[in-house]
Amino acid sequence: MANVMIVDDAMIVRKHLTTMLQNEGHTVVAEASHGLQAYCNYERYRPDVVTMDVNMPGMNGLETIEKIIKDFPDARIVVVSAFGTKTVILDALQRGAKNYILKPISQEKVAQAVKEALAAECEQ
Amino acid sequence: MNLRKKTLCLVSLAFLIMILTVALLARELLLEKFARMEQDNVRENTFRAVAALQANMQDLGNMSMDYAAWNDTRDFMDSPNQEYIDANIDSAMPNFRLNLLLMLDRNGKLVFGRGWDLEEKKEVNITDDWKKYAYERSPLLRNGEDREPASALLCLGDMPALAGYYPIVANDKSGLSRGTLVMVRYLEPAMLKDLSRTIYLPVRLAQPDDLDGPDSLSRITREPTVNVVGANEIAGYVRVPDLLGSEAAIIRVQLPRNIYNEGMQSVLYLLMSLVAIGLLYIPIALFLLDRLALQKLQRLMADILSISSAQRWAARVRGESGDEIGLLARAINHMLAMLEFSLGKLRDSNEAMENLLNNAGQGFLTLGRNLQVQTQYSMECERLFGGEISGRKFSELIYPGEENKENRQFVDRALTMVAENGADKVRRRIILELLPQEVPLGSTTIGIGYRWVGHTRSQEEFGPLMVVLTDIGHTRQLEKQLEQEKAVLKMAVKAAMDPQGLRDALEGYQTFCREEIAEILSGAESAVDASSRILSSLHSYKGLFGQLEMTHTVQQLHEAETALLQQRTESGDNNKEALGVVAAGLELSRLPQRDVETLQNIYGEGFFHRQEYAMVPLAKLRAVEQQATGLPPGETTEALLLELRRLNHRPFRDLLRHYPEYTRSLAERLHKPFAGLEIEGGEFLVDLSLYRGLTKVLLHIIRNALDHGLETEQERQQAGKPETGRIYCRIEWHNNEIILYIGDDGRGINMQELRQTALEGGFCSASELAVMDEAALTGLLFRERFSTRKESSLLSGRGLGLSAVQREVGRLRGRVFIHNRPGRGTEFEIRLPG
Repeated sequence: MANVMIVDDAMIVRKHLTTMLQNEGHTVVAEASHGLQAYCNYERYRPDVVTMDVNMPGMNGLETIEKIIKDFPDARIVVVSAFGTKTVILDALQRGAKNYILKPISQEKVAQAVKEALAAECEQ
Repeated sequence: MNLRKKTLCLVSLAFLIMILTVALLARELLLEKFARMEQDNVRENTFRAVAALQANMQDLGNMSMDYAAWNDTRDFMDSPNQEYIDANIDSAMPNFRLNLLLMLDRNGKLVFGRGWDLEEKKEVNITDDWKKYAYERSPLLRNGEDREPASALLCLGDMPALAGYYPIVANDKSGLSRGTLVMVRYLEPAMLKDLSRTIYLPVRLAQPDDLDGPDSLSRITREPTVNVVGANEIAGYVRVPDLLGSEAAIIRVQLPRNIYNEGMQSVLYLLMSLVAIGLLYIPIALFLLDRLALQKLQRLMADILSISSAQRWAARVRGESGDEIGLLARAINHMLAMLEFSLGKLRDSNEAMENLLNNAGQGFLTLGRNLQVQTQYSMECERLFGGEISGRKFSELIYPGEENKENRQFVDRALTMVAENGADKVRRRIILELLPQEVPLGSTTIGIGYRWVGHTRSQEEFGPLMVVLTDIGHTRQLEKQLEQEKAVLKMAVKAAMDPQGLRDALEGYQTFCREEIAEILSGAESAVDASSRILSSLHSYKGLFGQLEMTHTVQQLHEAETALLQQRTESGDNNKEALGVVAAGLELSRLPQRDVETLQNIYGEGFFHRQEYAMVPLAKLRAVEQQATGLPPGETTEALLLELRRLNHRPFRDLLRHYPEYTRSLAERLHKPFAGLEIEGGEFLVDLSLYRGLTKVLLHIIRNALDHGLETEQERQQAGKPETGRIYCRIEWHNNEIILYIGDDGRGINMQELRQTALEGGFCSASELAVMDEAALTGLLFRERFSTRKESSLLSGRGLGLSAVQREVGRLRGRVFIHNRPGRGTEFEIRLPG
């Protein structure tokens, strides 16, 4: 099972995601509430998968993905988008995200998205 | 270079190589052999010359024996005398062709000597050259017992000479020798000439300049050395050593090069005949090759070219025969027949495939990397898009029109990402999932499926992405119909459950349309005020009809509201007449028509008139009641009054009897977890007609609670609340006062948002806001058009609901309060005089 980092500015969402990921047998090795922290924690913990909120104060999710992918091209990032607008997801995929989860978050969506993100990496 | 030229070149080249090879071989093998033969011949002849010399020498040996083993000679040695010389020596010199005769005593001392010039035929003086052979124990001095004749070569000065020598003894060759007799014949040119004549070989002594270099003669051995003198002469040299072996004569034998020259000539003749044969054979061979092969090949090639360029696969090549080219023609014809057959099969199967695809009822097309439709697609595509689509951009096909520009851009971007995606299947699927699965097109709806077919061999015609289009317009139509039928059924059930409620609502609405609008228009202070009041009423009726599941009517009322709101925004001025015109134009009274007709179709014409009881106008009942009050008091009167009142009085909670079900369906639509409306109390009897208006407006509070108050399931989980939300309505009767508590356990009112909306909507100034307490702030919620929602829906968000509540409560001379419990819910308290 994978080591996961959760990036979201809302503590409650992070808690929620942590529970779901742990239910799936994953380990949450780090959390971040904003882009810069996400980048630093990625560098420090090197998680297998990152869940990334799009709307965050400061550096937003898309910019954070870009920054992480630029320095760590192998990073497996799953975008968690509340917008539901497909353009944002496409932007994220183009910047190197591996998969996406549409809010509201459910156990099945999280499990599936993380599984697929891990699979995508194996194939390359 | 064509085959003919190639053949010519190759044959010529092969011929040249052959000539060269033969020439080389002849040189290496034949001429070499001839040269060796020639050398052997020279050597043999050289030996012959030597043998001739030796024979000459042996003659001398025998002659010397004849003279030496003679008593006269022995006696002469003992006492030399002139007689002997005259008798024997003088004649012997020319007869035996001797140049020198020596008679030596046992010590090598000359007893008698005679020199003779054979040419001049006269006596010459003797030189001392012989003395080097006459030393003590020299083999020349034969003092021993050996009586065999002996001969040797001597070198006397420059002149080599043949010599025979024998011990001087008695006739019987016995006794001690008196000395040695030596007969010498110089190897003079004349002597050699004679020899040459005898053996038919030109023999002479070798000169230093015969070979290259002055020392070269000294290298000649007793084994003959052969030296080529010129093109026609060859010479053999051999060393003939003298008696002592220290000096020698080099004999040279010269021969013409007959053998070698014969060989040379043979080789030349061979080559010349080869060239002659070649010159004769090559043109014949080429001519035959041309006739037998090249012309046939050329004709075959021309046939094949004409067939392939015209693609006449039914045609055949000429020239089938038994030879290889004929067999080739036959094989090609066989191949053509196969090709013709296969092409026919392919055409048939293509047609069959096309038929299948064209009649599948689905559109199939493929997209190239340029995002354009490729040339091959099924007929259904043309039907769906109304024309040829080859080369058209896919995004423009499914999203025509200016308003879809963003959608088009999105589709183009996603498709480009799919096309540029590498081998990552998961990522490709994720992007494909983002593409539209269903789009409205013209009057219908198309379902779209995407399949990645990747790099196939036929990519010229088929792009990497296949798209399957299905016309699902009919399906959607059926679904919509089903939905409508369900809605009708719900409405019908509602109507059957509470026909009176329905009639009341419709009647009330018609009254509103017929009378109240006119009253409002005439009585209101301004057009804005009138408009607000009309909107408020319409909004309430919308809620009421919603409760009765009259969906079409609700939709119509919503549109009417929108139109009125728009009119107010646009005109804005104080023009009540304009408002009246707009209101009349909306034909408000006709809006429930369709639902009413639907119900009549189900239940029959009499449904809206059928009554279990006689229809008594409320005013009439009131009048009767009034009259009864005026009756003289008494038991009968009391009973009558009670009966009359009971005609009209029902438990207060009956007002809310439709609420639980309506609330439940609403919660479902909003996807809010909700257990159901809890109603407590309200058993006391009241004149319900007084509170019909209240029934309408209370719904707004419940709707707000559902829509704004209750959180989603997820949010509730996160907040640690029970998953299902709770909305309650508690009705109490205290001190002649009806008290309603309507509340929820949701998130409560966001005061910050409230303040912001108040400011932005211009409901109060910042300074006013600063001094407002919570009650005053929540009071703002009752202001008309005060809403924290950015968009309105059929349910709420226009800020009309709560203002209607306050107006209605005000009409009943009651009061309304809001109790906000952030994070735990909101409670409305409504107090009405009993």
